[in-house]
Amino acid sequence: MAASPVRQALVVCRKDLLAEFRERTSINAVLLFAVTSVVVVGFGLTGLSLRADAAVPLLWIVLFFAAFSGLAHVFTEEEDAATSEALRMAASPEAVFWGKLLYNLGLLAVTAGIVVPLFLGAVDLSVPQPLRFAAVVGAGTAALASAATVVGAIVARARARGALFGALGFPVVLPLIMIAVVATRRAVGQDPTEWIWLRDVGGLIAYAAAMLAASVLVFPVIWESQ
Amino acid sequence: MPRLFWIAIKTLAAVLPILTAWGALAYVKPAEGFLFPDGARIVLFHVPCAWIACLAYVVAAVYAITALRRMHSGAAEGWMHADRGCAAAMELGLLFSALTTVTGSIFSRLQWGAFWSWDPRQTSILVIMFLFAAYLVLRGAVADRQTKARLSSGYAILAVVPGLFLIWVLPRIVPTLHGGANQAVIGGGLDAQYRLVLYGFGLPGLVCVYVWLQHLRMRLMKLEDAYFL
Amino acid sequence: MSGGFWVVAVPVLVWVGVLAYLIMLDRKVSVLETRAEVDDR
Repeated sequence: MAASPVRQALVVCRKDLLAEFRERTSINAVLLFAVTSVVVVGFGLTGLSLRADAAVPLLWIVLFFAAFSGLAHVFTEEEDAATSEALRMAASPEAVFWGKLLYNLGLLAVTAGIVVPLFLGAVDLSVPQPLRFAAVVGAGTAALASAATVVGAIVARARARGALFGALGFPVVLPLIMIAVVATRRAVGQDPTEWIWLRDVGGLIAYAAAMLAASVLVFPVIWESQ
Repeated sequence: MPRLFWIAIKTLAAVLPILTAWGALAYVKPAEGFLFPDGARIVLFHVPCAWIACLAYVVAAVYAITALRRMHSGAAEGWMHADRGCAAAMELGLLFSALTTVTGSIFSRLQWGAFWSWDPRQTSILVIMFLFAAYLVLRGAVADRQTKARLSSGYAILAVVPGLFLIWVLPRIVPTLHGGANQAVIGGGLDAQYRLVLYGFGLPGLVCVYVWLQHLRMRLMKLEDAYFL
Repeated sequence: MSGGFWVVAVPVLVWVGVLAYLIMLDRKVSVLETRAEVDDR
């Protein structure tokens, strides 16, 4: 392992990106799932005009499920293709974690980039302060991706992965969603003075940082084979 | 641990809850300032349950860290004991957080008219219950003994982040129905009789019960491991 | 409090029942442990 950890991480990420580019299964599945969710929400609300307050939690529910159905692939595919052991030999655990995290961040960012505008259209939600909204959604998405990466690593080595991923992810991520919902409401709210950058975006970033710190501690032992 | 210690723990565990029941149901006067002064007695069961659920989580986290360290450093079997401790504590945590939720919602019905109101504090205990349950479900989903220990200990540590946030941070940043009650218990607003029953009988009694249950469960798991491996 | 005696007696009896069960479990586990020890030797 002569290469630096950063370089190793980038190589791991690049490997996943290339694999994805060839067959595009993950991104297609995640996108389809997220877009379908938005359609269901939009259809369910036909004829009702929803206050911004009420639409915001639905957005985060869609993003939560997009993350916690699609982001385990990076690990489950390695297990299924029996390439995990090779990856353990080729890169340090830290590099594997950061590489996979980077990939998941990108994947969820792309998904959010497509799904959030669709959602805004479907529920007819106006965003008077686009910068604040983007900051909250961005920070929240990044935090979701971080949590989903480490929980995905856990779930990849277990059975009943599909349901387990959501079940394990939900309690870990709920505080994050609570903060995100409140902050997003403030971002789209009528009263611009309610917003405080440090509290609303800062809180999300702090939670993400705490999750990452715990993940970095825990991942090497989860990842080790016996 | 010496025999005398266990005799003491078990005796206290047997006797103190009886004293708590007597204390809560006969000794203390009905609480002033509550809508249902008699119903407020349930607080003397609710608060110890909540504290023991937190204690159980702390115990689980400590065992989880121990297990992970021993696995990481390659110790042959030392991790198993710690892993059993973590699992036992998580089970008991689930039990006591469930009891907390039930006693809390009974009180909530009496005091505020509804069993559940999605108050942040109420939702917190629910999520903590889910954390315990998720840990146990994860354990059930892994066949290999050491992988089971790895993954579940890892999850237990991860769960510290939401756990700490829900227990410590959330009640301080969001106004909740529960806020006044916190002040009463921790800020010393409780009547002397209630204080005696809570700190003299309820809390110590439940701690002893918890210690006994934890130890018993671990002994049983040790036998299971020996038998099935 | 109205219902006086029974309001205290019922929870206490429930607890005594739980205790009896716990003690029984404790003894069963002890028996198994000593048997396991004997097997180990």
